[in-house]
Amino acid sequence: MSIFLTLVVLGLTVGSMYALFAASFGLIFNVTRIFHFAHGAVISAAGYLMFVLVSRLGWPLWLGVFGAIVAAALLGALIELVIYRPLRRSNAPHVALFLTSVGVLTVMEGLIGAIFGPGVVVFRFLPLERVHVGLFDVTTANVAMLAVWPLIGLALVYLLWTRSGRFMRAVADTPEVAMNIGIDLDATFLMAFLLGSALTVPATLVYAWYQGLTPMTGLSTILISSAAVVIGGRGGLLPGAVAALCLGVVQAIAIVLLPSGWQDAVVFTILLLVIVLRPRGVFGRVLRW
Amino acid sequence: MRISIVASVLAVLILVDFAGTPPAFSQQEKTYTFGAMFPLTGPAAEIGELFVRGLNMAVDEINAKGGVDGWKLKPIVVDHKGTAQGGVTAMNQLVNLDRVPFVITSFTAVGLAVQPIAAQNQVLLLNVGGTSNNLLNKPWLYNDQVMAGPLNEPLARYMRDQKMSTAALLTSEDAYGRDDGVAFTNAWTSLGGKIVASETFPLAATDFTAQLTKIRAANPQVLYIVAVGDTQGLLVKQARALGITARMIGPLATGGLVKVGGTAAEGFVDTGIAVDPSTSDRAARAFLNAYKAKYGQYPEWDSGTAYEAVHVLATLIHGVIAAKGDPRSGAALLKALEEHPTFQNYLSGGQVTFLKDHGSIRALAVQQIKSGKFVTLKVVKPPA
Amino acid sequence: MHDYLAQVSVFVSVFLLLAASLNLVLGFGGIFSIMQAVFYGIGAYAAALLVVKANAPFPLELLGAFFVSAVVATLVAFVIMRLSDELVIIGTLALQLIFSAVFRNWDAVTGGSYGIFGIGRPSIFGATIASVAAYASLAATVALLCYVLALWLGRSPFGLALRAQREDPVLAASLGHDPVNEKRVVFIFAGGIAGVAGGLYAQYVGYIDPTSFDVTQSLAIITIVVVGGLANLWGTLGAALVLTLIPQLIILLPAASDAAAQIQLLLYGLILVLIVRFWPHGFIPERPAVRAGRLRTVKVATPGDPGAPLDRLASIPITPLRRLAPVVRVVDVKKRFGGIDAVDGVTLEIEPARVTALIGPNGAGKTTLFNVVCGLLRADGGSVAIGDRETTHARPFEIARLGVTRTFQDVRIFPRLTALENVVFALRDADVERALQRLSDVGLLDYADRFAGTLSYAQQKLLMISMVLAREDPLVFLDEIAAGLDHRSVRAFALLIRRLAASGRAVCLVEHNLSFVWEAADMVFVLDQGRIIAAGSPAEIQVDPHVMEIYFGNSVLPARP
Repeated sequence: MSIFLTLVVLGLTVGSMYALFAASFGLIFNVTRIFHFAHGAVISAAGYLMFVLVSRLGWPLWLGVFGAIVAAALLGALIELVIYRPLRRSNAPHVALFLTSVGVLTVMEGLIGAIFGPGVVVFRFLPLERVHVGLFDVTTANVAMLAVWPLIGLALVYLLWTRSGRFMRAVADTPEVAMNIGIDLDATFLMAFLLGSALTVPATLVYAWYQGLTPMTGLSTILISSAAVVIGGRGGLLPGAVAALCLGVVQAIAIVLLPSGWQDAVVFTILLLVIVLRPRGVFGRVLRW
Repeated sequence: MRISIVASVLAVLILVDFAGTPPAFSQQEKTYTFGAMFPLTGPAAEIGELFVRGLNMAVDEINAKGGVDGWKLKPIVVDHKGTAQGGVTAMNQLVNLDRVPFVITSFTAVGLAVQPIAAQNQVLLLNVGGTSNNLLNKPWLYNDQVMAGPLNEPLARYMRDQKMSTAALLTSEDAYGRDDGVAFTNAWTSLGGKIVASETFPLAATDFTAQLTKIRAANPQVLYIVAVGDTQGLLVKQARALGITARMIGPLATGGLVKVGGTAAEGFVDTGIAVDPSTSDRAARAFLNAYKAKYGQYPEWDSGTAYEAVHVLATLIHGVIAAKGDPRSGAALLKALEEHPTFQNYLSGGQVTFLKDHGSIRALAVQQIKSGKFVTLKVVKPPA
Repeated sequence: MHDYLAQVSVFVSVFLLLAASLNLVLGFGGIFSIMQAVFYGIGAYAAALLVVKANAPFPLELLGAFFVSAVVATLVAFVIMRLSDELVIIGTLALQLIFSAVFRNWDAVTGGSYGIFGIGRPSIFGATIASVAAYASLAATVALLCYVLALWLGRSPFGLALRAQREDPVLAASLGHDPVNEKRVVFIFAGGIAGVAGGLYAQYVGYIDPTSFDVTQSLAIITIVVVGGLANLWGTLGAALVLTLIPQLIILLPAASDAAAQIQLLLYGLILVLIVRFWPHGFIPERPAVRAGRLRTVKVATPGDPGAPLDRLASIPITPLRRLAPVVRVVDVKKRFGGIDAVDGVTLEIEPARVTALIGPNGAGKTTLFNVVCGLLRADGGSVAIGDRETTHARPFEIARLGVTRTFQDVRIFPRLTALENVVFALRDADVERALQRLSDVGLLDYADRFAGTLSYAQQKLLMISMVLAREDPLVFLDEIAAGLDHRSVRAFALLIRRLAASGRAVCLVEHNLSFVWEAADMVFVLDQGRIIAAGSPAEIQVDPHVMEIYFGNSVLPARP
């Protein structure tokens, strides 16, 4: 029994980390309806930037994180301005947006691999150590993973109580009506990209703390984040975040029932079942923002 | 429209034709080209780099002394990316475009995939990396590497001698992980030990939480790990952080273990080809010291086997020329190898001998990481 | 050197097949599948097992590969084909990842991450095709055969149907096609072809493992298809050649060989981004399946005054009906949206040899009723019958096949098909001659090879008419066909409609243009807020006070011209 519990606890922490990734992706997806796969490129780029700033250039950690947040936001905004917006203007089919998004992710993967090599890059300034919390033995990174929830909370506060947050919710709900009442769609989209991209950085930090970064990090994080958002359903931050949390737990305890090679398949089987049986997502109706 | 596509395609094809490398030797300066396939990209790329270092050192040394009987060695290094497909592509280039009679290869999957090509084209293939037993007994393929069985036995024995009785396995989901896991299990159990848990992980994985948690629950005294490069380091790091206190061991550890693992790698016991700087063998000492002078530390096994492979080639060329044969003939090289299967061991002195099953025997070392460095605990010499 | 080129050509053959198969699915079918590498892998494993375990001779191993891949594709098709476009992307991605896990873990069949090795080269009548050059020729032959098959499919009526439903599945269904079924068929066929590619690959390399069939591979195939041009199979050939050669060329650059794989990844990604970003509708345009320019026998338009094109309508030949059209009986049909009863218990009959018109203010429920009768919407109550067939729950394409032709509000044609293709598609038997005749009847013969989206509004309207007439259906439902017509055209249209009815057809109109209704209709039903409030001949309706009120408030009705 204790192994099961330990797995659940660990799964909750890793799931929390994925929840922040999912929340960031979900924000962008719900507001802009773009399946922004290139979000993975933003995640990796910011991660490696943090590594360079803190490990190679010796900046203090808080400054490195801050720099990465700014860079992530800018990169996300750049992708929107240079790629998605022109495609929307020329009425490109949805698949075109998705394809370019995938292309950007691939380019970033190649670029990172060419610069940093294919190995694992570790954040030595964040020691990974054993920590005893209550009845459980976890790592320092796992504890840090729980710190994402205040951040998700902050993002929610932003969406609920600021003007630009309300605009984003309006656009996410019904873009046509939002446009008609005078909300600037382009500006709102841009804001979503800025906020969504910036939000990834704390999660990337914890991710790198626990398992380092590789050129494939972008792809693996975006796969699970987008799966969580689709499984969770439309409705902003929370459905995707909660779904990610659940997936974290499921993935961890899956090893009790299945040989470890099948772990990946579990998440995507759930995804497939959801889209075939309940396309609007599991929490789409119950949880709103 | 169609015509322009076809035209540009033809143009490209012609370009490729002319860009092909020059013929294998020119009369004025005899250049001996041979092939070498390593993982230059992909998850194991830092090992590829180590192989290349050893290769280049050997080539430079030999050429500096005037080459082999007047032949200057020229390696053509190709990236096989660690995959079978990459290997076949690389091999086809080497065999069909560059027309080499000798190829150094690495990695089990690659070796298995390219061996038929080697056999068909009469190219001598020398594996310096993969350890799977499936690489044995294949025509035209020889292994300057210690295979899974003899590699893991000393490791199991050492840990049993330390009075450890329970072990858990955590191996990569590929031929290397499987074969070595099986070999260790056989050795361990035949020495009276028990296996209490066995988990695997996909090659590109970086999150081993689930597997490590399960292993921790089984409370093994020893954790046996089969992984390559940086992954090894990541594994030990997470293992310690998740509270695993077992002794961690595994075959063929490389620099990635320490680089990524940090303090968690302390005490890791590995087994591999012995690298013995204190050897009295002059040739081995020369190599080890030269490498240290150039790179700041003694070489790891992969630089060593690649270095040796070049010297094997040099020895074979010399032998063929002495027997008045054609050194550019793969068949002649093979015959020379079969007739004289013993070569200089540059890593620990003494000899490397190729066996009838196309494996080889040499001194093995059981090592441990102390203060971030590999320290030899025990050397296992081959039977005389 | 020959052998080196031969090796390259094997990979070109393999990728040509993969890209061609995906182009059929993605370019023609509009199905955004990120799982083509799965079928590639299934075929490879199937062929490998057949050769290794059963010594299957050529071509049995390739046929086996086709078959097994096609079977799996069938299962997948039935699961995902009803999903919306975005969900298909996600669904196929999920399936790709799931199958990758299966390949890696199902040790008994696939050998797991160990793979299957020792796959022998094909043997024909006992002789083994061992050498690279010989194998390359064999692979090229197989690839060419399949490629030609794909080409033929693309230019066939089926290929045209795929492109049409990709543009507008609703319109395609209204013309009697079942888009879901058509997509399934192409998906299954393409899966089989990808399987053949897998077989060719397996026997060439002699060793297969799961890493060759993962999501990265699927994305590489997509790149080839996009670069070559969606629905353009010739482009696919060129792209397969170029993109397969790139990695080979990078190898030859000494400086780059270290980071070769990364650079290749970078290049592929960059190519994808640039091409889709700047040519989102396709780098190389689609090629129409049929061209009028090719055909020699083109009959000249029927005589008539060469005035405004819409005038010709009055004299267009109308095919006579063999039997009287069936009666359409609408009984107490109800349809609600949220809290609104768009159609609230409507009962009427649409009779043959007559023109029935439905009029009423905006939001009265006319088009909604139309859509229920034609199967586009599901009734919440009541029943619809066409002849003696109950059609309340029938799907649009089923109703179309019963002999119903319908048009939509606003001109709706397939903009990225040519005018000729539009008409050919509308015909039941895809007879190009007849399509040309129909085009000529409305004066559009000269525009036959122009993309319909480039025609003017009036010309598109004519095109729509020619499609309606081409179908020769006994039941014709026209939604606001007279919108935007001037005075003279209204008369010509009305005459055409009346001639249609005179041929025995049942014509039903939904109209706002009252002068048109007075000219054309025999029977008029007036709807308001989902109910019939008046019914009768045009003369009776014109003086009905209720009708006056709902249309014009209390003012006087304009007199009949």
